[in-house]
Amino acid sequence: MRGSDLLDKLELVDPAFIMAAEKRPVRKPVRYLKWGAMAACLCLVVSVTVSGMAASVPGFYNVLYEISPATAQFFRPVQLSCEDNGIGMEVKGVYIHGDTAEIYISMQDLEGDRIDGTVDLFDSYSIHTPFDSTGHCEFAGYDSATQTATFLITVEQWDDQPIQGEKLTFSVREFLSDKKVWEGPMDDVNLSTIALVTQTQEVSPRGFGGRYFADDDHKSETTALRTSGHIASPTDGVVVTGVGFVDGVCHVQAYYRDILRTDNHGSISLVNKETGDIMLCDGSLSFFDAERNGSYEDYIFMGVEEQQLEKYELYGEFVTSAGSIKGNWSVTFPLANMVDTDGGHFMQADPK
Amino acid sequence: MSDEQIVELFLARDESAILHTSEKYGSRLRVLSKGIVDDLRLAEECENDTYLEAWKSIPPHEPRDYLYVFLARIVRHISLNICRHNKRLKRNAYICELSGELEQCIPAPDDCGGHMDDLALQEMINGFLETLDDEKRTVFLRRYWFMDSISEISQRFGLSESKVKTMLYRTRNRLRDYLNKEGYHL
Repeated sequence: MRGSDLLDKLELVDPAFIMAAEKRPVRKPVRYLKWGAMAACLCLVVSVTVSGMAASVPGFYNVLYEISPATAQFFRPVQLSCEDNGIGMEVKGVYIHGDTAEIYISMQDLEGDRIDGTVDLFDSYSIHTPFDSTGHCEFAGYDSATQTATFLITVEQWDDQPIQGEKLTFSVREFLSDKKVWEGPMDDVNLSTIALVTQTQEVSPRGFGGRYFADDDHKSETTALRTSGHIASPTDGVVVTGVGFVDGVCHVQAYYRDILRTDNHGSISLVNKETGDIMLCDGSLSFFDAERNGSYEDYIFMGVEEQQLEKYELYGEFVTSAGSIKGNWSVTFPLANMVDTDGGHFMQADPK
Repeated sequence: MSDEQIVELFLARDESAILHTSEKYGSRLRVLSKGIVDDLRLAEECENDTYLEAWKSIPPHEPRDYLYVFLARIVRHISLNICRHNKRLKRNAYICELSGELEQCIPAPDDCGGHMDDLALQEMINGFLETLDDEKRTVFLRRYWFMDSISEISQRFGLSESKVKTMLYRTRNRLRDYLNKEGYHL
């Protein structure tokens, strides 16, 4: 027997194992191991032998963060600015008050105009602190003259403990910009003459919501319109692919291209042509295409019967982008009050 | 429609069985096949061939409780054969890579087939898989049954790629030892 034979013979595996392997695993939450003795020993060993390594090996930090965030953060060198892929990131100011730190960070395109007022960090940022905390980052503003976007990071230490003498690392892996919003009636779709999709399919939803699914905590499979058509494309990256009825309930299906890179998304409503009343969908379910890049979304309208469809027109709201820009941006700075003076020099500031 | 009802349609030679199967499992079979052949058009061909093969196989088979796995086995088999027979496909190299990895599990690989009947081998493989914990077993099957890449497995389980490689390496070694111990013979 050779390896190729064994590869074939694996088809004999028990069906129960295959079904189990098909299910998405439930990811375990990362638990920081608070084994004091272990961390203390590790700190001692690491501080003596590998502090140089820590400064230059990101993988090392990942391991160390698992064991002791405080130790990992201790070894992070201060780096108030960085540049990757022609885009710079810089700490502009830090304000500490009690258990809360507010930090302003800027991102500027040094080579082009890839950063604009629609910039979105695409949930790709991470905040590392040596203490237990909650934190978030929000868009604070955009200066078109310098093409610089500013973000405000707010970190709050748990247990009302004051923040002092620690360091924080803020990292970003990718961001979106050049986002476009399209909103309006979809005149290209005539619901009184449209050929309804009659075939359905069972899909594994990547998400669902709305009152139509109110009683469903978890759905491994549900019924959607068969994905086949191209009815209209109101904006680049979005296609209306079908209108039809599933078990007597109206579905309007849209396709969003390359969502993992673009975050294309939106919603579809029905507008009564006579009264102008807007009918929001009662639920929606989304599922990946075969390549698992794009996503279909069925918008479900419970109160519309087939013979009433001609009274309505489709109304869409879509957000699209050209795609994310990737890089490795990371700054590490002391959690002490400071402001960026002209020229990029920092000075300690005394909070008033 | 339930699997049992679909199988009944197959057994009654009702062609709507194919339509219902396609509606229920078409996309999953296509995704599985595309993971192997890495070509959507070929994956669709494999999916269609799977329905034909299922039509021929039910009866005598009656997979009322495991219809999806029954179909998945067929589509995997067909997809693997397509990769092997069309050597121009880049995917053929990937299949060779997986075969090479699995060859490390065989105590004494040779070019002759059929030394062990399928039933005995099936018992050995399933017996071995039962000895693994859920994570190791699933990672092993994602690699060698679903033929996922290391990076896909890494993302799926939230593990680093090096951890996945190490886990697979150790599992292969354990399988080799298991086959040895259970009396795999030349």
